[in-house]
Amino acid sequence: MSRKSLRLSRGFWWGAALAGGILLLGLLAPWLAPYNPWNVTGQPFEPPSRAHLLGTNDAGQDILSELFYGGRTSLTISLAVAALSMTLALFVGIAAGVSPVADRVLMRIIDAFLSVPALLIFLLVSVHFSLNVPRLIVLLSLLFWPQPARMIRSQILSTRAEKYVEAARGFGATTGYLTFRHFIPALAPVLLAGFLTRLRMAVFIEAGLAFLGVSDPTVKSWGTMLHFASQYLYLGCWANWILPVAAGIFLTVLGYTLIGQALQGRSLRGEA
Amino acid sequence: MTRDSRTSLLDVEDLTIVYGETPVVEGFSLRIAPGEVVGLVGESGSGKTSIGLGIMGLCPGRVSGRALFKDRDLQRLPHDELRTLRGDRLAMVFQDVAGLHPTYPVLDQVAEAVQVHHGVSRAEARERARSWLVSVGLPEEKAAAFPHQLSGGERQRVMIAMATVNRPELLILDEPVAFQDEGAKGDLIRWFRATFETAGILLITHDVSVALRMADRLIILCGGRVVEEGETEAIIREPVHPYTRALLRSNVALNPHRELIRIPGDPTRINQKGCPFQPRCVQAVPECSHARPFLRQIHGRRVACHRGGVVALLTARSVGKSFSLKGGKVEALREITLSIHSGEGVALMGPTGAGKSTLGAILTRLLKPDTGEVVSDFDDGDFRRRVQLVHQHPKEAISPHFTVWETVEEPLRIVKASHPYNDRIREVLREVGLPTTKDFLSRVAHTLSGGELKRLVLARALVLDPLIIVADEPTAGIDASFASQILRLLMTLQETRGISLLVITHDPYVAQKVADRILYLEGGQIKKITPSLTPVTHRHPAPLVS
Amino acid sequence: MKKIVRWGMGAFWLVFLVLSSPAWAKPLNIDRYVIGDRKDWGFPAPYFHYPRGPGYLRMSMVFDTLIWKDAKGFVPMLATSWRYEPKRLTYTFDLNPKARWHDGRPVTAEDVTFTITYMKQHPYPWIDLSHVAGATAVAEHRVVIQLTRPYAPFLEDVAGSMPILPRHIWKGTTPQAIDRKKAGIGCGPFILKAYDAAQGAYAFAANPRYYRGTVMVKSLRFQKVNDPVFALLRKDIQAAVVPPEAGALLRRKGYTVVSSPTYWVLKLLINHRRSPMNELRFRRALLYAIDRKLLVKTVLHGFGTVASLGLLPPQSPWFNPNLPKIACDPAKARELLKAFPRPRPLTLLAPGRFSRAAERIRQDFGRVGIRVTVQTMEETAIDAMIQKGGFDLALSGHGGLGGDPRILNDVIAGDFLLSERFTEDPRLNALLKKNLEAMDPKKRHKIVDEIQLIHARQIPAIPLYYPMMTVAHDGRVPWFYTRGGISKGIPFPFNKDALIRKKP
Ligand SMILES: Nc1ncnc2c1ncn2[C@@H]1O[C@H](COP(=O)(O)OP(=O)(O)O)[C@@H](O)[C@H]1O
Ligand code: SF4
Ligand SMILES: [Mg+2]
Repeated sequence: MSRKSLRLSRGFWWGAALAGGILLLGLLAPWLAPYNPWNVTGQPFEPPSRAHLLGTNDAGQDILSELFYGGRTSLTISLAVAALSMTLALFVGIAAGVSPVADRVLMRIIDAFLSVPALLIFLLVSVHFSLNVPRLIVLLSLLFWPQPARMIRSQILSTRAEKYVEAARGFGATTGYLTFRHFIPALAPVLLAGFLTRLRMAVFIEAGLAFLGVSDPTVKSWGTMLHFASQYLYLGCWANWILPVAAGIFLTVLGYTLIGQALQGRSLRGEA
Repeated sequence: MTRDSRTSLLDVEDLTIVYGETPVVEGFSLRIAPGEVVGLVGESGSGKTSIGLGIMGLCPGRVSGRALFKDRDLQRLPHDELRTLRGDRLAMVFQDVAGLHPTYPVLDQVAEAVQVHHGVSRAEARERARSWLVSVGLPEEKAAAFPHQLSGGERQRVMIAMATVNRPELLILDEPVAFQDEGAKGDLIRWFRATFETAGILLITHDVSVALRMADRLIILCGGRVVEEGETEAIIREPVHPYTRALLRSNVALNPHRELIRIPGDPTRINQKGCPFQPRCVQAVPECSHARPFLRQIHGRRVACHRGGVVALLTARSVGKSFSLKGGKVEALREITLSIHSGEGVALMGPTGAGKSTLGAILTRLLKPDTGEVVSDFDDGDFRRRVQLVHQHPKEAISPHFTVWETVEEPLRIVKASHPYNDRIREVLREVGLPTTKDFLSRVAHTLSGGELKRLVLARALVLDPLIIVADEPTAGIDASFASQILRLLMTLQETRGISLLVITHDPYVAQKVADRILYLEGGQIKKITPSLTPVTHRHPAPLVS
Repeated sequence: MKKIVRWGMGAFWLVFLVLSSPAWAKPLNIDRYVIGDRKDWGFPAPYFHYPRGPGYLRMSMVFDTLIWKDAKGFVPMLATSWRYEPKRLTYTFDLNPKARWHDGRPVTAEDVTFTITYMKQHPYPWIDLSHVAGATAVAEHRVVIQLTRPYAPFLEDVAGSMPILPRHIWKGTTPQAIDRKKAGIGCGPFILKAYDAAQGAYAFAANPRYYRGTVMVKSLRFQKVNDPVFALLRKDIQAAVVPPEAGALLRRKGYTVVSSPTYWVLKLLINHRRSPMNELRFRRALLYAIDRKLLVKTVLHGFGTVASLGLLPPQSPWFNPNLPKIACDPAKARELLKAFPRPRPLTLLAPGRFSRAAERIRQDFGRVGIRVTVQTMEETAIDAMIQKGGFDLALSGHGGLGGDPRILNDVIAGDFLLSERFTEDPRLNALLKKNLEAMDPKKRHKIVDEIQLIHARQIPAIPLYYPMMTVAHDGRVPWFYTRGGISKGIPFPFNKDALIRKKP
């Protein structure tokens, strides 16, 4: 994979541009947003105007500013969840892939995790804890790790069967050496795919949970924007309120998907 | 060996020969009974001729020790008594064919040997000489020729005729057939055996195949010291001393199919304090360099080696292995017992599924046997360095992420070898015939050609200085010319590094080329063992290539 | 002539009666009527419904109480008449002899005495019987209830709220053990036909033998809907509480839209037992920091009013209009906070539905230098934390402010789930005690006024706003607002009496 030609498809660049652009918007939110999105800067339900390009929401807050800050939250959560869950998956997957004893225990745990309906967990947790951003990240990560952990484990098992690993063992390689030198490099495509999938899922699920009001509605996120907007659907405010948010979610997910497909296609070609 | 003076013809005890300050022969002892042929075998320069001359009392160096001919000490015998004996009861065929007088016809020179000892008439002497020359195989018309008119082989026959015309009781033959073509060699050997059935013969030769055909017993000489001594056939079948085996393996006549292996190292480098073979011995231990090994009784012969001869580097004892499959248990190996000796080449043959690769994996300790054990000559910590498996499919055996450099570096990193790696990596790459340019080193290994990859895995196996390489199907699936390159490479490694090879192959020609022994594995068991070395017995010499 | 005039007067009177009574004017006969709601409120029987207004309301369709309330005040229900004897501390009720349980058995005084004993034994969260000593059935249809002390709210809180249980069904069993099928048998105007918790669906059928008159809706349903506005527009339902913001739209679509006080207040509960909220100065600073007007504008979108610091709304007959009215003043708040350099960050517990208010409060407090972290949680979890005192600030609301001012006892110092638990002020404690005992309305008024004043000064909690309730319905049922709310102040217009054509 490494040192292969870095020729990437156009899809990748589109995806990177989308994801990167949205990331940039999120990062620069404090400077780009015309208002503090928590301050009341207009009457409730103002239609788009010069002062408020996308109008105001139910609380008289600027929707455009909310959109920037909301993107920031969505991206933070998705990146953190993807990173955390993949890290967890990596540790568990490696432990399971490397040690048969750990494998038996961990696979049980993974099965247990996978058999639990995720939404139920969220509902249960949200009853007793405020689902603020850090908690949401932890919870989503806890729900997201088992699947990639399994994939990582099976990738390690198949790498373990490789002759080159047998050869390394023939030279007396320790498990640690094999892990760092052979297992982890071979995991790159799995990790990448897993990471991007989790990014996508996190954006979606965050939005979904916030929309349902399960997560903390005082956090500015695309999901909470939808949550509030959905309560006033009869006011006909979808064009300036719901549509921009939906577009944000769609473009982000599209960006991740494009990157993922491009890289996956490349790594497949590379492995062939 | 018990000393029985009644039956012994020649008794040499503790013969030591020193030229200047250099001892070339040390503590040589020998006993020849009437009718016995003893072969004294060694590389040239090992002191064979000096011993012959020493016994004859003709040696220019300082000779000590005793040589008793029929209980008479040849060293202390009055000069004319010795001269009477020499050439009559006791004769030596000299190696040097230039020893003839250039201005007399050869017939006269042989006749003179008769006249000197038997005082017969000149005519009778000439007559005897003529018929003797003919029986030695010189064409009658050439009897009157001058030495320079004869070929080397013919001159040698003249020398033989001169030495033997008086039918001595003890004959010392120094390289008697060295100048003969293969057919003539056989004729001469047969002639000697037939003519001197009751005499004692000391056959000095560097050519094991000659000794094999004539001698009842062999004495292997290395650096003027006896390293192995025993029955000819036993020694040929199973050489015990590393030097003996090396001699055998370098002999073309003994190895018609097998690739020849030169004895590694410089033959003139002889350890004077310790074992003479030590500088070239792949299994030497520190002791070998400073302590002299003495002859000891081993395997029905006498061997001078600190390690009791060629050691088994790797021994599998009653190894069994079965795999559980869905349908039940498959017994892959059953009660396998085998050894791989230092420096030897072993081929493991058998049909697909016979358990070859399993055995390979068990011997390299990549797989644990269910029963039995694999013991090695190495410390456990050293095992991984010393035993290397070379996989059949090099591409599978190299990480797709690795460059050429990383591939060869890997074993060094794993065993935490001391830096720098650079020289060692380049050295092994050169050894297997791969480039060592920066460009090449940083290429992703998988982008190399199949041939380069084969060499690369070999280089990787060599970088830890292994003593055993288990090569799994090294030539399978590659074209013949390339296969022969790989084989030559393996043999070169064996020759230059003294590596033991276990070649897993299904190709009998490959097996014969690389192996001292061929093991047939079938149904998880060793069905037969064939020494690839084809002994040419002296009774029925094999037809040799002309 | 006189006779003619008398006849004429009589006829006119009759016509007037006919015309003026909506039931007569437009005789109702509705086959099916669905009231939408966003939630399920539990099995509609005592002990089983969720102890909140809508749950009680559904139960009330099946179970009758001794007396009831209409738009003007108390009206007979199971009891045709009642009287209080102050000396003996007794209430005597004469029961309607025609009353029948849904299974056909007559309702007797024994059922009433049984209910009181049973509910004393198995407390029913809705009813507090601590001041009731017991009851005696003095005749088949007459029951005497003995109080332990004068208790002003008795008629509203007990007689007008306590569902009478059929003795023959509940006797010898516990609320935990009773057979669900039988637990739904009452004597009210509707018979429970089906209940589906998952769907939040309640199906009631008109009780054909209802003792107080004809039930005009054959099939009454309550149905959980995701969006009442759209459900109304789709005609899936005929009535629902709707967001006030949708009122204009629904009115345009021909719906009858009525807004009314809810007798409900959203409060910022302050844990006055924790530092620094235990100091009045700090609580005052909080009060000055909050822009309650902005809250009404941005959270209620104007459909509500800033709450009185004495808790009772202006619509309540017990409202004290002379309380200090404190407007937002961040400068004042900062001034007060000077005594608290670097106050610790506070957490604010808020149910999701109050998240906008929480957001505003966080901003307002942030403006004066008090850092607030909002934790949104499920309401029940917050309730539990409030009860344990494990919070700094919490957003919590309660209704019941339209009825008897006894509510002040419950919410200020009582053990009620959402009580402010403020017992620090001995004078307030004494007044609250008197509040329950004063049977003389004038004296009681003075007491209640003073309670409100102390609350406004001590600020154990900050009353934020009174939202308005907007109900939209198709106009066929003459829903009305019950005086002081149904039972103990449920602010919905869905009073079952609107569905009954009473026998003359
Ligand atoms: N006359 C001599 N003077 C000095 N060194 C000799 C002499 N003859 C032989 N040597 C040395 O003695 C060693 C043994 O020689 P030689 O007996 O001829 O061996 P071989 O017969 O086995 O070839 C050799 O190193 C050789 O160089
Ligand atoms: S092992 Fe030692 S003693 Fe034996 S042949 Fe090698 S060097 Fe000589
Ligand atoms: Mg010689």
